[in-house]
Amino acid sequence: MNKFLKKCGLFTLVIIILNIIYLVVLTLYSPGFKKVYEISKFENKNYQLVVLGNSMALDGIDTGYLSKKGINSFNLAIAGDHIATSQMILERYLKNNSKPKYVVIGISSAIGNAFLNKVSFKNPEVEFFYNPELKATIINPPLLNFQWLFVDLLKIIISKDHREATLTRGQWKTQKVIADNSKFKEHIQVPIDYKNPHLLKIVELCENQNIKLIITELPGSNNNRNSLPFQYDATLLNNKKVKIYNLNNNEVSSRILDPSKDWLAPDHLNKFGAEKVTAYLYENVIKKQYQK
Amino acid sequence: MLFNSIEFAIFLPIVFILYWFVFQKNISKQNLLILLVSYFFYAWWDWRFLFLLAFSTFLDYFSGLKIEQAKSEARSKFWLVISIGINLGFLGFFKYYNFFITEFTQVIANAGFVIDPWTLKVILPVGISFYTFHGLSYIIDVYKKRIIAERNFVDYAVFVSYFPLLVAGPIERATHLLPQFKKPRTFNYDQAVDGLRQILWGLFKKVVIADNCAMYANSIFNSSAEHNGSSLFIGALFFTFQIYGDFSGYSDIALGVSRLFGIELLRNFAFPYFSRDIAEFWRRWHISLSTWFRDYLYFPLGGSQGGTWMKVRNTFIIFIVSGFWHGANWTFLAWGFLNALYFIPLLLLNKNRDNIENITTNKLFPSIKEFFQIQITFFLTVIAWIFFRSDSITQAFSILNKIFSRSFFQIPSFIGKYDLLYLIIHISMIGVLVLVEWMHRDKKYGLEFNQKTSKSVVKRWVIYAVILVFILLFGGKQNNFIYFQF
Repeated sequence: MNKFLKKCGLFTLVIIILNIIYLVVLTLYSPGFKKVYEISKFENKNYQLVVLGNSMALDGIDTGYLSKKGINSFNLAIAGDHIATSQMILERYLKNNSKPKYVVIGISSAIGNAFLNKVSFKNPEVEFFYNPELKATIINPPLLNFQWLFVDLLKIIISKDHREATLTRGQWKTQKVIADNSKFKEHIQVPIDYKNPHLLKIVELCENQNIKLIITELPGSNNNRNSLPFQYDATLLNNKKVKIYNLNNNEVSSRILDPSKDWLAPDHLNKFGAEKVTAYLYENVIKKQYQK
Repeated sequence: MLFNSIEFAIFLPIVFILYWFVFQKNISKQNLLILLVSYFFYAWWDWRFLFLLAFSTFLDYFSGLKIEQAKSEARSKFWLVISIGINLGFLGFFKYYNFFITEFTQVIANAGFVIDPWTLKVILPVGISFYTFHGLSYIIDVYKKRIIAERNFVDYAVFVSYFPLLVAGPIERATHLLPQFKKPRTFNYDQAVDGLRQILWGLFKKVVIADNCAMYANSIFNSSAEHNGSSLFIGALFFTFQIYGDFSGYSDIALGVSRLFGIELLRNFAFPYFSRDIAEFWRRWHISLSTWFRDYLYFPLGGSQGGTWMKVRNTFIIFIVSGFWHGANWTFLAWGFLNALYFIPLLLLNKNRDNIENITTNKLFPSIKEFFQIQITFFLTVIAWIFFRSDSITQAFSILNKIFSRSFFQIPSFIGKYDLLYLIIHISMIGVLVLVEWMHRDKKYGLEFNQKTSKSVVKRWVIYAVILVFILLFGGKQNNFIYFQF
């Protein structure tokens, strides 16, 4: 029996060692993982503009461009994020750093509106660094919890585009091009439901701290666009109205973006598309507010 | 409590420690412990159905004693009929009531009458088909005087509700399992290590193969009208591996867990997808159910002893009943019927026992003939699984229509919906499964090896580590085991 128990102990040790090795590999080689760690440790930063959102904001809002235009910016968006996690990130950021002048929330109007889903889900990396708990790490060991980051690492190994991609001011920049061959469907015009408690908290937080909040619907692939106006009012959970800048309007998106050059995957912009979208946002929204 | 859940990972070591360290000197206490934890394990799903389990257990225990004590054959038969009737009555009510009432209503409606039947929102108690069959085998064996009736209620109750097999088998026989609960158990190091290895392999099959294949199979079958023939065939292939990974993975975990307690359960799978004909497939797939039907239905009906007509009739009966055992849907009946159709030619040509031995035991590769036999058998199985997985017979035929059309040669329509790298990884994992099981096809399960002779300690541990990494890194979203619903 003792021999058996020793083997069980050894097996447990192997599990622990493999997980530690995986954490080390992620820390060294996974850009996404490193980014979450770094932003969780931000202190005394004085960015004038920060971006929140999921992968579409991560790829699609060019904070380097905005910084060149004189607005010191950083993209805090995380792939696979939910608005609840964005709230957590913003709260930590505001606690440890100077108050930004703007917060931009890049809403993904595609893939089932996961970012504003009524049912909150936690981003594993953000939970790991923002709310570290031994119990949670035992139940969900890193190898299990960060499965998709391994596939991401594999992509870096096998794909030149992924290897050459960079994280610049928090934005994931890649030159990879996959043309958007989808077609606009007139009937998809269902407005996003903005009655989300976490969004309301962010709105209130920004109001209380006198931060200008810019909510923008980012462009999706042709088949995920809408015909809602570029500017419209959405209703929050407390029935207050908030202005939405709708870059996913088909007419606007079609004018800005080249379907053959500006996409890296369905609904995800590459560096060329991101720059165009950010330039449009800057000229039509941010610059006007900046000048006020 | 699922085998692949954190709750079970906590439950199992606690039971193991109590079993071997606290109650190891007293088999009565060990059995009582197993009974209590088995009821706890079952209550984790729905404690209300514990009463049904307990009632069924008591009924069969009591009937067994009555059958044995009966002074006349008629009296003995009376208790047998009572027990079988009540057991099948419960099974029929929970599993088939709504099916029959709905079908009856339809028939009446077709005749021009409208009735409003009393349908119920019946929740199917987990494992009812399995523990009912345990009880039935015991009662029939007592009646047939193959075993003597069990006097100790706890021992009998443990036989029925032993937690590793309670919810999805293997369907045990009293002649095999009860004696193991009657004798003292001593901890066997080799048996326990082998059990852990079998659990690891079962987890790989469930979490990596079945749960990932489920993602593709569910997506394709749930929107089958949108897909072309090639996608639908690939969907059927995914389901073929899903159901194998799911059920044989469950069985491996069940057998492995049981071995930690010094109890050997019946083998349930023997690499069925390497079968060279359908008869061989059915000797290797869900063995405990196939042999149950053989012993308690096929043989009593006359088996293959009678004339051609009787052979054919009995074959159809056993396959259709087997299909119906899986659930109240015409699709399961069609699945059983189709398998009977596959089987009949072998039976009539007296070729159903041609492939008894393991395939190419001493060679790495099969012969060309064997290779094609395996492929044809596998293909026929895939086609049959389409009926099993479809929601209706209409859906199954519509899928088959597309598979046997020109769209079979088109680029699969489902591919663009998934990240290609994930798809490649998941298909590679199926490759790992097939390769490992082919290399170990003469063993009892895919990862079995003799630790004293076969491989060095380092090699073995590297294999364990690799499989562990596969389970953690490539495990799919947790899904219930398919056979829990049966």
